[in-house]
Amino acid sequence: MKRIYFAYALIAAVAVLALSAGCGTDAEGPVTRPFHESGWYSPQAGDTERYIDTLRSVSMLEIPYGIGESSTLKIGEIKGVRYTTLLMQFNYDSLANFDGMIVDSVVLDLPVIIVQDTLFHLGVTFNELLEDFSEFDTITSPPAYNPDPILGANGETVRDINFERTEFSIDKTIVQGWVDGTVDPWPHGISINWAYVPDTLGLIEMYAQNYGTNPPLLKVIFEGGDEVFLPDISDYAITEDRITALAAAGGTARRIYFEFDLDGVPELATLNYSALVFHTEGSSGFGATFGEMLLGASTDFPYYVYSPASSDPGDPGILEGTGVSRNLMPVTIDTRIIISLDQYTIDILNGTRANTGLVLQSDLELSRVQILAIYDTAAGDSLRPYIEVIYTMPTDFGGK
Amino acid sequence: MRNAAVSAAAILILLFPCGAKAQSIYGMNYIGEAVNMGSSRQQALGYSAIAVQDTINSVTSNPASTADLTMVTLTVQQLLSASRVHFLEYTSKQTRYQVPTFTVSFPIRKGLVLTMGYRTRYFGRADFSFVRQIEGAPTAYENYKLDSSLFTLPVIVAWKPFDALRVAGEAQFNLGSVIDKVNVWFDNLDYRNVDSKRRRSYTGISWGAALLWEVHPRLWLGCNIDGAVDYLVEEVVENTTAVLDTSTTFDYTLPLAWDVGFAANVFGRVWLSSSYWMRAAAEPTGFPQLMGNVGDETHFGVGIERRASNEGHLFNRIPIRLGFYTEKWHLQFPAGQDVISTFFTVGSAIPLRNSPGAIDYTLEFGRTGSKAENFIEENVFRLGLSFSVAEPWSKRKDERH
Repeated sequence: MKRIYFAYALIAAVAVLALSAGCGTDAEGPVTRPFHESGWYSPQAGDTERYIDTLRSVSMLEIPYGIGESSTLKIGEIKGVRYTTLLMQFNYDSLANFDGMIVDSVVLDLPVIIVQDTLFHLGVTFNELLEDFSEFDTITSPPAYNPDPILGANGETVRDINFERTEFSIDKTIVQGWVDGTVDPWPHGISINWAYVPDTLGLIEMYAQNYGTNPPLLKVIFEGGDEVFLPDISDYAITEDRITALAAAGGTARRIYFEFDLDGVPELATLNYSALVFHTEGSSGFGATFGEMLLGASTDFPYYVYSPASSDPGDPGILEGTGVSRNLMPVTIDTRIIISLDQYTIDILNGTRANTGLVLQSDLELSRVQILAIYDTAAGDSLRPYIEVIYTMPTDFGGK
Repeated sequence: MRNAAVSAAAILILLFPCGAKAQSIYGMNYIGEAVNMGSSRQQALGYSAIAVQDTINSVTSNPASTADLTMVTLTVQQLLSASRVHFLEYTSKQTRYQVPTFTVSFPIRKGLVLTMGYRTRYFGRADFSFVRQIEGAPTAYENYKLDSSLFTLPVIVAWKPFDALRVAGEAQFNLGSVIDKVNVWFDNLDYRNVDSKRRRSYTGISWGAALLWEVHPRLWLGCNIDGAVDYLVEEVVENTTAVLDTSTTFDYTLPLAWDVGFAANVFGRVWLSSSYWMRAAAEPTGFPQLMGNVGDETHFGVGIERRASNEGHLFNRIPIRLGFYTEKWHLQFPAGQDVISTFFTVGSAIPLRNSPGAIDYTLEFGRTGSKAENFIEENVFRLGLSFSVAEPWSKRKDERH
């Protein structure tokens, strides 16, 4: 009996399955259109609209940040960022092993990676620092230094750094005094300063001690052939901001502050999408120096967008806030950048977050100089920055 | 009985993965009845069997008929529709499956039978979308889903006080929900969906009464009254933005329905049956857009059955059934035009050897709506299967010892 039941059940099931599989089911959309369009089937999705907020204001915040922890040292100027001074401190401990020996020559070896452009050269002076410095400080102007340059072997004061000349002699009597113990080694280190502004600007890049190997060093050669290296143990490149574009730059530093109100988004709207949109000005942008690229650095600009704690540019709260987005973008080409704001705009519209605007900054602000230049609100409609919001109004299900 | 339950379960398990759709493309609003009552035997007779005595199935058109069951009986009725829906130049193939009814009858004593089970009142499924173009944004879609099931848990007591009379009283526990979902989405994952859902939960108790009268061995009369259902409807609307959520309650009354008919032995084993069913127009509470577009719902059916013989060759031992029915839907579309269904039916049954059960099967061919009147026309092929098994109360006891 059980077999019969199962046989019938199986026959029935197979028949229905076969019929079902053979018939299939199409999309209902076209054939249900009259029910929907006439309102006979009452649910009606709310309208979906695109709203553009052209921004109340876009401005730059200038913040003094140093890049003492950079892996390269630079001197020169590129894209409006002038590297005015290099600071270096050396480790003199090894000298203790050479008491009583006679110094034959001394060389300051700057491990230049690349000169941009190749023909660029820069006259500099070496000066003994009279004040200490730290890589972790934000240094916007050189510490006090002895205005009398450190002399070279032949009494020269101005040295010309270029692609081929990266070793510079130092008056050996200075170091002989250190060996003999009659003079303390430069206790605060030295600074390398521009001797003059060259006709054409360029950039000279060298390894910093933060790179880990091949730092700048003092090479002391004794009579008889012995030599000792006194490596750079702390260094710093001081920058001067000459950026003219609306830009977010790391290392100098500048941030872009966007202010908007979203008043055009209806109260009952539900957000599908929102984004900060702007166009980069590639000719003013700067991703990486040639030296950084040789060391493997990317030319992409790592950005960080946050909602500041304060909307007052004079309040320190504007420099910190809640993160909204973090990613990479190209900065050396003209392109449209879309930064999704996701939950941020939803929070603004439902009142759970205050609208203090958005700040965009370099995410490598403390270690690299990069420049993101964008078109400002005075640019044409196709280039100006804006906030884009796509929203949907509530569904109307029809009432009782 | 265990075998029967296992077999029925096997059918259900096998069938549930099939695409589940509404009983018709027109079944997108719940405002009244939409499912005919009865097993595939009644289906094969064009649902004209209100006065047809049925001694095999627990699912019947007339609850009073269950008074004739002498064994514990399980019946499962299932339907599969394959239709082509036409609108203008568009055609859509639709496959729909549902289990309208399953019940179990327990003879308490001879002529007194208790029946309980499940009966679908409304089965709504739809899933369709429209493209929405928004300047400066990816292509968007608005998607609509209807997922609804209103059903009745009937408790029927059928009694046969005299040989010629069967009566039944029925308590109906009606519940279920109608869920409409609306979803706006983009073909770009950076864009959030906006979802809305309205859930209407229906609960209500109603009563029914039925009579099956053997006026003459060759003439039977039947009637059934399906009492009004006073539903309490709890409506909850949920949105992606929770502040837009709402909830409310309202009352909705599904008016009383009645059904009368006869069955007559025309000659030999050939019976003619006919019935007329009607439910007055409901107030479109909850559906203001249907105001003026709801009418009386009617069903007229006629069927011919050449009943099975216990003797002769195979052809003699299976029943042959033909039927026709026409329905007027409660819903009018697009504006006051009646939606008419017209179906022809043919069916038979396979008796279960060594068991009083049977498999009844029916094929229906017909049409709902018309392009001329309603713009939308649905040509339907429907397969109905009923699976009935029965065992006497005493059998299990005997098997145990």
